[in-house]
Amino acid sequence: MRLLLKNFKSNDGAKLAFFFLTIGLTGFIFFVTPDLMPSSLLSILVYFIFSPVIDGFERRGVSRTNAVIGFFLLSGVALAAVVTWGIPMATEEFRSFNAGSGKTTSILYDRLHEQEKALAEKIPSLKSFSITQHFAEWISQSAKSLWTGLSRIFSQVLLVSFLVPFFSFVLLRDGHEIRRSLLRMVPNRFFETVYSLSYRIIDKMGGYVSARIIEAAAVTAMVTIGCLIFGVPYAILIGLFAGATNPIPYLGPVLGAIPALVLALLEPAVPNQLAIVGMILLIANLVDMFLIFPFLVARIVDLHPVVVVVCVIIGSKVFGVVGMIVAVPIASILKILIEEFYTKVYNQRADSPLR
Amino acid sequence: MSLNKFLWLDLFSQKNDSEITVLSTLRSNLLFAKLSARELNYVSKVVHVRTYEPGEVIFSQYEKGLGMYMIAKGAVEIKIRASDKGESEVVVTTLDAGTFFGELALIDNDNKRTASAYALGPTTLIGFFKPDLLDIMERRPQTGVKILYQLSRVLGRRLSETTELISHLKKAA
Repeated sequence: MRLLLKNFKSNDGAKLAFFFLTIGLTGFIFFVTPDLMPSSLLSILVYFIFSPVIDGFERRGVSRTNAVIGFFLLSGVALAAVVTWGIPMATEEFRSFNAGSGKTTSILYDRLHEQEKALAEKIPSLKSFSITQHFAEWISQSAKSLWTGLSRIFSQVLLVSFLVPFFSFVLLRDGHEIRRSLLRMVPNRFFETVYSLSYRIIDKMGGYVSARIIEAAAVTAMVTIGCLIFGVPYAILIGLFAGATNPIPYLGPVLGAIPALVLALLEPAVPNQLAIVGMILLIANLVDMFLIFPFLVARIVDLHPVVVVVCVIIGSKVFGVVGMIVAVPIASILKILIEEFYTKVYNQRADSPLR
Repeated sequence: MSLNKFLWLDLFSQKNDSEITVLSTLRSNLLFAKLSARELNYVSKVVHVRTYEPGEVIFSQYEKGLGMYMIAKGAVEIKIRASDKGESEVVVTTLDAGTFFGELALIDNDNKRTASAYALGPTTLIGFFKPDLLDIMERRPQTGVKILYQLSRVLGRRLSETTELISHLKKAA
């Protein structure tokens, strides 16, 4: 550090001040307008997922601007196709699920009531505590809060659907230029270190996001196809839910299995539905655990399994489910920073002629 | 001024000057000698223009290197530490505008600088680093191959010069 600061120039001070001012200002904007946060995070996600696609277009001689415009046009066509064919299918499943959900809740309510009665006969002290009533109240409260929060959710969705394409366009087209402009503010003495770190972090995050998307898509496909083969109802919804919860380490597969297992238990449409659904989810998660995760995600993250578990626990304690999802990539970034700092300090000591 | 330049305006470097300098420096550099005008224009948007005050450290001996520098303006002094027991440095050579140094760091993963580099006067350097080379190879493989071919020629020439020097020293001993 002594060596690093020895040749610190006044110009460097101005650059460093401007660098931190930019970061501080960005933080302030997000603090004042927290609604921008989901759009920004989603845009970064879109950038990480589709940047390799744009690079692929560029490799074939298409200019970056044309590649990004072409990509957005293609995405528009794909979205229109999904809206035309995919949405009615999913809506039909959702409508059917929604219509059946009242019946399912009533079955669940009756079963709980029966169990409660039987339990109260065995343990008289439980007579004063009604689980069924608490369950009914919880259902009613949840439905009410969902209804009141619907307007806020709707405005947030509108904002996201407008801002994400805009931010994503800027990031995909000018991402390299934005990074170069930020690097210009870094003082000469720290330039190579900051550049190397930013490159390694962005590279690792890009790989991690792509790997998790591939992993979630594979789980969705395996569960959906499995359910469709055996004629399990709501196959697409079950598959989508299993895939969507997959990025939550350890808890994801359990959460993803709950709706499918509850439906199979309470409202079986095919013989042995519980066993079939259980087997499909088990196989999908085993393939994920022993094939996709170790060969795709773990190699990119490069962290010891114990470190991953500890990070997920810390993440869940600090930020809940979101913390569990971001714990592993943040740990991976910290590992890069610690490695760089250690190498710098170690090299300075090892190579110092004054030792 | 294009929209892109307006949006990501560089507040620290002298824009008009550097725009001309970057292209002319790249054009005269052996590493980019085989590139077309279009490819050169693309590379000029990838490299990094850095300005140094007199005596400012560009990099220090034993530091991990990330890439090479081309001298667009000014001069650079290359120094090595005379012995492991003192801090005194010996000037090995002085490089002028148009020359380049540190190119081994472009391909060597654990490259450590074998000498220190200092700006002699007000100096403008164009930095070309490993992430830039990888980025070009990823997005414009044809341009990347041309640069890599020229880089291997430069490194081959450096190797043959070193071998020649060693044989000469052996003969003298």
